Amino acid sequence: MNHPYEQLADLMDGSLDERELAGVQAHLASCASCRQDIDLATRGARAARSLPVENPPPDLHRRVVGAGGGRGTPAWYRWAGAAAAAAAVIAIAIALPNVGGERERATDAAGGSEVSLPLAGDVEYSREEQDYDADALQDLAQSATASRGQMATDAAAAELAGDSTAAVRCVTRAFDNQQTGRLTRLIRARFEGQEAYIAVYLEGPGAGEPPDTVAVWAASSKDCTVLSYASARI
Amino acid sequence: MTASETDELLVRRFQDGSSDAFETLVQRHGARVYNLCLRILGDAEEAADASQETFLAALRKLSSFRGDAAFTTWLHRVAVNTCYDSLRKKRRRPMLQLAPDEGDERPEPSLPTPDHAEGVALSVDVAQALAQVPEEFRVVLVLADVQDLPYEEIAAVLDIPVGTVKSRVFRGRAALGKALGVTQGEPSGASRTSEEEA
Repeated sequence: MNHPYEQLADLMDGSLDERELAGVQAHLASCASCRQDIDLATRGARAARSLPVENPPPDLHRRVVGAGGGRGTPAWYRWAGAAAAAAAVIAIAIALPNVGGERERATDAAGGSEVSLPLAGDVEYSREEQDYDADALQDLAQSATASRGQMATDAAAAELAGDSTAAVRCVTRAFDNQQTGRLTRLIRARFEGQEAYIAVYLEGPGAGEPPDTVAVWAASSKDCTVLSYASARI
Repeated sequence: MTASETDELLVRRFQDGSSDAFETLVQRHGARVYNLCLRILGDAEEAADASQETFLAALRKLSSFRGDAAFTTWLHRVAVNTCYDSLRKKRRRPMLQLAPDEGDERPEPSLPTPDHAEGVALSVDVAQALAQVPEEFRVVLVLADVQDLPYEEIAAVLDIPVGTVKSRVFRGRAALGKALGVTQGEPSGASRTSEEEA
């Protein structure tokens, strides 16, 4: 037997017209299962509506906005509005988790001692003495739209290999929730005096379209928190 | 003051570069999102994580929000999808733990059967009973009877026909009533069954 659940919901709401009501009543007269369900559903609805509204955790706002304790909004949040204005933050294929996740596992599986370049072939890693600030980060985003910069030399690459593993792990942790572009360049440098990783991503609209934005992030290399962000249209 | 601004205006201000506008949206809808996640997931900690993830996802996606749907409809959709992700991850977890062993040889964990669930439901509260309602009914039930959304809006949130919403709401309510054990010991239940057979 087919049960008219949709009409039974209307019956509970009192929204059936006379003809529909007569049809449902005729069904109920011959269907014990639906009569029982009406009884159960009435009690179930009453129970569901009796559930109290619980207070969200007091730190939810801080967890989202990061503005707790009067310390002001963190850098990643401050730029979010501007990024929206530029319509630059658009999700595309997830390259970062692949870089961070799979490579990290590969290294761990090798016991962590074997040095193998953990970055994809098209990601360059380097160290710089430069102390970046917001303007420098923006300059990097601008310059990256024209040139991807110098690749590390072969000699430097071996030395940097182990370092880059930590870098990828760190930026993966720092940007996992925010960044969805393709990582192309990682720089170990300083940002406003702090040891930092500078990560350059290419972002695009997806669906096979080419990247249209360079996004540059700075994260503390100590605790992998996001320090700043800049972007530029390609 | 932002408190008097409509959601749509706040969204527009956010898209124009104001991060304060998003902060107001979080304050305004935080409790609603949290309670939605709490009732779907049935766990306060998971609900807090899902609420956080909902707003972070909203933050990422809001630049492309066109306003075709009301902001609350859109936010509910983001929250429900986040909860579905969380439920999927939870389902996957025990499977991953079993993977290294010969899982095929293991007996299935003894999940309560509906009859058993009904037997113990008398001693559980509504929130626990809600967790026993099948997922697809529970989500709709929560949207309708906890969040108090009209059927048309639920249909828009879940992208399903209104008729399907009504059907799931009814079946979810009945499942909740059953999980609460409200028919335990009612003689009318048995007589109805025999009546139907007759």
